[in-house]
Amino acid sequence: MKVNADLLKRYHLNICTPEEEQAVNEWLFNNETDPLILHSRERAQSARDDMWNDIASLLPEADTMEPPVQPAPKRTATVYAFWRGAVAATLLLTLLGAAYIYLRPSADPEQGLQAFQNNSDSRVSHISAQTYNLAVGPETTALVDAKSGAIDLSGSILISPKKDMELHFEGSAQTIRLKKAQTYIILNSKSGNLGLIVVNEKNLINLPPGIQKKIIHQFGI
Amino acid sequence: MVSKKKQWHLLSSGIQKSWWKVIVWIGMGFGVAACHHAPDKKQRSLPYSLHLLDKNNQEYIIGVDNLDNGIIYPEQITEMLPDSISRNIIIKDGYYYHLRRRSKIFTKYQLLNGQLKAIAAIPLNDYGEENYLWVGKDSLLLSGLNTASDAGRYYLLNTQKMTVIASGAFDITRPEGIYKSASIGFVTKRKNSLLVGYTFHPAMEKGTYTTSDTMYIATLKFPSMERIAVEKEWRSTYPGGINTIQRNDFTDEQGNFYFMTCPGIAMGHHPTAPTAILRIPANSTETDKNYFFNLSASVIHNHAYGLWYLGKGRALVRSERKDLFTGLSDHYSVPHFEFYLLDIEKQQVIKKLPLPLDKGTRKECVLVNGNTAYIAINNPDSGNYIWKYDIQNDRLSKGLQLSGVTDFILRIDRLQPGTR
Repeated sequence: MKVNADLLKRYHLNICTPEEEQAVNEWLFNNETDPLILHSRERAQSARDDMWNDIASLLPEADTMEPPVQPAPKRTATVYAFWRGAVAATLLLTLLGAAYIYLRPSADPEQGLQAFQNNSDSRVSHISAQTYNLAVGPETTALVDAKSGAIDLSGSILISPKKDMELHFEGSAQTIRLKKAQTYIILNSKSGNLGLIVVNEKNLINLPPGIQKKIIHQFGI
Repeated sequence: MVSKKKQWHLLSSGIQKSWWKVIVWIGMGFGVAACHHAPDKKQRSLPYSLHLLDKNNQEYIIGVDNLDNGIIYPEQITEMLPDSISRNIIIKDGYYYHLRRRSKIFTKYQLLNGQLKAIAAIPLNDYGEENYLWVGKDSLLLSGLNTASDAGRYYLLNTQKMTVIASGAFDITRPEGIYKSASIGFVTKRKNSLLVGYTFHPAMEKGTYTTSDTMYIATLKFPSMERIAVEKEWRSTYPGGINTIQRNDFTDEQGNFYFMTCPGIAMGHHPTAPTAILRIPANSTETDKNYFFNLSASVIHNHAYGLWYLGKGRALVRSERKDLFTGLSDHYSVPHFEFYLLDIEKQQVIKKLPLPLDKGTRKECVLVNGNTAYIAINNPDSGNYIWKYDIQNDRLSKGLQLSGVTDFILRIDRLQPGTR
């Protein structure tokens, strides 16, 4: 059975048949499968168009924004206009950045920067690339530079390299060496009291019992 | 590879063809007989059990004759376990018991011909293991939490028949407000009641994990498990630990119960609280307010995990060295653990034992047998040894060496009762 984005979606919603569930499970734990094509070129094009439409729809809105009900002093109005422009510009830049990051992997999935974002508060998203399998935990953002091995991570990931890898994390001088066919749990956060944690899945037992339970529950391991 | 059956067939037909092969066959027969009498193949009870981990995270369980001398290559006497049994083993009277985390199947094993063989199993629904307590020869009380870790659950089992005698809600208070989950750190039995130490945790989010600054000691009627009282205690937090993995409590000769709190990063992750030993006197169900052995403020000056009673008011504690590890990523792999001898009554650290630094975050690595405390040490430079500490004469010496693939000695247990 061919695993595709639609099947994965149904898998996470728990609405697939036992056969489909088995196919996804086999795919998840099999390193030899083909890389998954999450979005076709047509869908990428349509997503690109949608995103530009969204950006375009935002711009006039920013310009025709209703003035405050109470007439404000002139200086305040200037400051307001300045900030309004700044916010709009920031928004535009953010959206352009997001569009770039979103679209780049579909053009060349194994090169350069890849961004993985999982906004769900409970579901895990699974990604398969030629060099690794990745499970992105809930409320997690990961920017992976496949060439340099640099990762900017906020949240939790489960990574299983298909060949030996070296990774560097934002905010850490350490080089992390991952062995192929092993699974690693990586936690990182810029806030909080845990910092960067990288452990082999088999060493999960060494983490505090409360953290173990959370990771086990999150990733279903 | 040629199957054994095929080998046998080839051998038999060979005998018919040439007489000299008969000699070879007889010779092989002697060889087989000799193998049959090799120590690891003997069908007899070995007094001690070791649980080992190799460099590839494969596990081995071996029965051993003595811990005092010799050298063992685990790969030569047993095969690695097919699946991880994740350290939470209960060992008693020649049997091993283990709860499989995902399937919730509780299995009884026996060591036969050097291999762990499952002999009975029962499912324990909606149960996560925290603590165990033998309340009778074959009566095992498992105290833990539901899968969501926010409500107490227990199973009282007959381990001889492998049946459930009783099960249900363990009547401890539930987490409220910002607190979402609980940890049960110790369970001890008085005549008709249980004392249960526990604490709560806020949800782990945005890279933060910690424990409440309060711990609780509930008194439950036994066996009905109804709550009689709950004591709040603020002097430290995270009482005890998961005793299937490492001990953090004991009862002395007078029936006084002692438990250590573990707020260090490897357990409660509330490092501003001190690692301390508290006492619940034999005639009380509450902590002794005049007793607080603050280990973090002593010469140890660190957090600790693992406490073992040596008898006559002395105990051993396994404490970390925060100057030698960087965080949770290398807490288990860097050798940094030290062993200190404690005078429990006087609340004093007697001395640090002159042992190599040990590695491994949590291990059941001390076994007390009469006047000897066996201490399993894993140090990449000096090797993997069971050290012998002569309690009365305060003398340390090397005992059994674990060589070959050994990387960690996770557990050292008495496999048979009354073992000397």
